Amino acid sequence: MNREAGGRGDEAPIPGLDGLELDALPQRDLWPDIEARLRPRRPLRRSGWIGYAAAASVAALVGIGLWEQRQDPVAGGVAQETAALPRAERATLMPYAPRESRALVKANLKIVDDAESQLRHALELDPESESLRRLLVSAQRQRRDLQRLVAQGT
Amino acid sequence: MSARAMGHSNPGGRGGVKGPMTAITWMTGLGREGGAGVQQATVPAATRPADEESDWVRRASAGDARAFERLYRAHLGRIFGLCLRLCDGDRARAEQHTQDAFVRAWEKLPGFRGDSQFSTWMHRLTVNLVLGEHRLLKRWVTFEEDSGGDDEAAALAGRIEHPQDRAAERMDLERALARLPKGARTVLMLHDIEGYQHEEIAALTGIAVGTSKAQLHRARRLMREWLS
Repeated sequence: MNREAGGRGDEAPIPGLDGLELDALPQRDLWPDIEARLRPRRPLRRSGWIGYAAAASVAALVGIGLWEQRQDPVAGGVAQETAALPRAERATLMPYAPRESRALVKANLKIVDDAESQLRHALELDPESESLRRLLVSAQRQRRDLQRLVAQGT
Repeated sequence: MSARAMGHSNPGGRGGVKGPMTAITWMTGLGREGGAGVQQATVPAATRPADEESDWVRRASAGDARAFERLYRAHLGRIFGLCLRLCDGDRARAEQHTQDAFVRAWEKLPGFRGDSQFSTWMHRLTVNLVLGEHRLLKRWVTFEEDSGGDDEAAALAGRIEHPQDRAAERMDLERALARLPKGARTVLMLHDIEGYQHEEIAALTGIAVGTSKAQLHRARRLMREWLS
């Protein structure tokens, strides 16, 4: 045996290690417990693409929708004045807010809800996907923005 | 990297099955019962037609749980044995890790492209899972400990003795392995038995590459002293 400290002998594997038996069996059948934890397999790619596509469309539509509201001086002005009023008065002015803006916001909200639902489903199938998680956070943020707009009566 | 780890001598991949599955004895004499019970050993992975397993993988990937059960039965011995070594012979934890590994495999299987053998992929997934939990629970803080608890090591080694064991040399080797400090034993196992490189060991365990090398050197030195 080479007893040199740090010598060449210590660099070589121990003889016989590769002859050890590596396999072992548990004392009970683990399959029932494993099977109970297996989630039904769904086509991940399909739902994943749907999630991505929906989220992308949400981002585009919401962005366009919010931009249009900001760019429309009438709607923007009404929104600012309306927001400054007491709640009771605001409610009476609701019918006079631009219908197209309200419809657009609500349509976007529905799209965001759908996208969020699909992203959650995709995450269930691929829980470690960071990209899906980021998209979900983005969709949730946009949903909150849209809900705020709806609440403000725009 | 050992030839076995590279899969050169065994198409089962890294450290694949060498023969009939028998009980592991180098960690506290566990499995001495020979794994008796409901478990049925299937055809070892190394002797199974490759296309048959590929068919199981494909079907399991598509959602066939029965096909996945075949994969489970075929690789259970290897995976449980691996978990047992990584858990220092704790059978309860090894069983839990084995379950977790196969569940994770089911979830990840659609992403398995077949670039490597299923056994290799499954092996790496298991090591990542078990060592990942160890990192999370800070079970690797004792990498710099001394020969740890010689009392504990002696107790572990003592439990290995069994009158039916005819391979005295193997028993000496197993006893020596059981005596090693945990960190040194883990690195030795991962490097010399499982075939991982130091960079991979460092990534898996959260230690530095230099620490991995030092622990391997220490493990080999101690083993040679005890086996001489």
